[in-house]
Amino acid sequence: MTPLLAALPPVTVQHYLLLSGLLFAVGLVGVLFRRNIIIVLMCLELMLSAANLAFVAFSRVHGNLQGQVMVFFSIAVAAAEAAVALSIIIALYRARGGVDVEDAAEMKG
Amino acid sequence: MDIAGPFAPVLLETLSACGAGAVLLVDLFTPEARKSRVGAASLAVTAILFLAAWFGMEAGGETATLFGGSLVLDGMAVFLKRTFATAGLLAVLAAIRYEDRLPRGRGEFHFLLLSALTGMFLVSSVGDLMSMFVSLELVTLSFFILAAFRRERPESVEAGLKLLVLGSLAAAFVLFGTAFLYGATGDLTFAGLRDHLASLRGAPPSRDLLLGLLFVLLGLGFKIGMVPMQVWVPDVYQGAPAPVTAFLAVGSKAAGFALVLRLVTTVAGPGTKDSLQLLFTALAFATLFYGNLAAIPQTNVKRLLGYSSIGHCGYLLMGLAALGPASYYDESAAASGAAAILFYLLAYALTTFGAFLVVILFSAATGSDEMDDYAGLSRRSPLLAASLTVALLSLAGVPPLAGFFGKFMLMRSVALTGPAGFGLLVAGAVNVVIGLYYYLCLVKRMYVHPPKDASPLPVTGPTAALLYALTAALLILGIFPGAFVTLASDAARAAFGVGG
Repeated sequence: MTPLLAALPPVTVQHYLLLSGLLFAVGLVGVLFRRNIIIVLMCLELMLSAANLAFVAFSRVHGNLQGQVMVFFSIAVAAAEAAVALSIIIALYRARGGVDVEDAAEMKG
Repeated sequence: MDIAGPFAPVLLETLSACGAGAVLLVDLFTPEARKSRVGAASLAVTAILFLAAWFGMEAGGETATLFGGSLVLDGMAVFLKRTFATAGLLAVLAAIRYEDRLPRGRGEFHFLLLSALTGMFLVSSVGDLMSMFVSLELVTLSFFILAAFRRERPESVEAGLKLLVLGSLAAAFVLFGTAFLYGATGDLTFAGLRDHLASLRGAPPSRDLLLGLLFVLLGLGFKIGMVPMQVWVPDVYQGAPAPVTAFLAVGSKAAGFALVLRLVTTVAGPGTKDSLQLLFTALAFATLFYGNLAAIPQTNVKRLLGYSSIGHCGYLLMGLAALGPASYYDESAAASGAAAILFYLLAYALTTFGAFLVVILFSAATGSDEMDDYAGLSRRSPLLAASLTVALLSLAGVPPLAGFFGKFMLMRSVALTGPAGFGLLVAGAVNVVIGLYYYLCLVKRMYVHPPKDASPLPVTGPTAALLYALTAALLILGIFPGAFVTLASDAARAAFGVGG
């Protein structure tokens, strides 16, 4: 181990949770404020990944595998969601000629 | 009668998943000219599910579990499955009256309705957080596609996209919250969560657990259209195809409440009920007033029903607010709140389909959902006008219709919590009046205003029979609610652990 790495404090579960919380917050801000729907979709995937990271970290803490199994399910669900999302975005592009948030803001009231 | 033995927890799920596959096969082997067979096959599947749910399952039997506790079949699950089976049958009946307007993909449309229904059956009997997430996503993903199904209409695509972005956001909240619940307890099952809380012996639960609970409740709040997660409701209701809107209104709300009820019955205890009661009281206030006040200026019927469905979510939240403050905690009040929610969901399912069936038939004949075009409907088609009037009055809560008794039960459960519930009781009563106002505005258009176009709207035999049957069901459920109330109360009492 290099001297620089040895000088760093050990990585604990708190660090993983902090990273997970940060990823979730970044994703949430992106969903709320980005205008391109593809980027909004990527931010949603980021939020799911943040939750997955928390699951794996907690799984390590508790020493059981339930959290890791849950991650497999969540990855499968996220993949299905991405497939549906991209096809709806293509339908939006055909209907309105763009994939920005403004292209899906006709209905109001 | 119990027809499935040890496999009762997955009886309906298996039947409807196989049925969905069968519908796709029928679609594949049916020539273009005879596509109405696809709807008939789908109707046969949901009719079997309806019969199996109401006559093939034991309501008061022992709690059965399957797959290591992942799926649980108790009284509450049976009641919810019966509600969903009824909603599924009505959704397919409504879809058959709509499918001539689909340019393509009848088989896929019915397949997706049935896959959403499968998800709803699973939702009613989840026993751990993993099956909760997966079955909830099965419902949600099916509805994403269904809402955007008429992709040649921009508003349908827009509805699908809005449902998609906000639905996925809600899923992320549920998943993140689930991670923290798992972190706090080290277990993904509801039983583990209950044991963990019991082991605290009244001490406040850890921060991880409260954070997880809050995130999961916020995520589920999206499904039920609760303020502040309600923004998608009006747009999606307006843009989605009408049968999908009706099924979404009933299915998403009931699925969300099924999970909220499961979670609340699991975590409500001495250490948490105060904060839960405060939370649900505040949410019920906000949701009631938001939904009902925003409904007043609407001009589109589907949008009006969207806002009114937010209002109904507020009434349902009153049932959760009946958990009771610690000083006055009464398990039977909490159980009566849960029973009221179950009964209300059944009444709401019938009423919503009654209203949306008329909306579907009207827009099939005239191509419009605008309230102004409903003017003089009583002269163009007395049956349509009368059916819609009965459904709207039931939504408003006028006796002797089903909606009245549901609201009565909810308010009674709030009154049982003592002085703390009085504010909410008054808010509920005020909102009933607001609701009556905007529902009657539409009734007035149909009966008082002269029609712009006086051509009659004929209603054919089977459709008329369906309208009569739904109206009769609303009256029966309102005048003779006893048997259904008993079923709901038994289910809720078992869930809250209150004897006899």
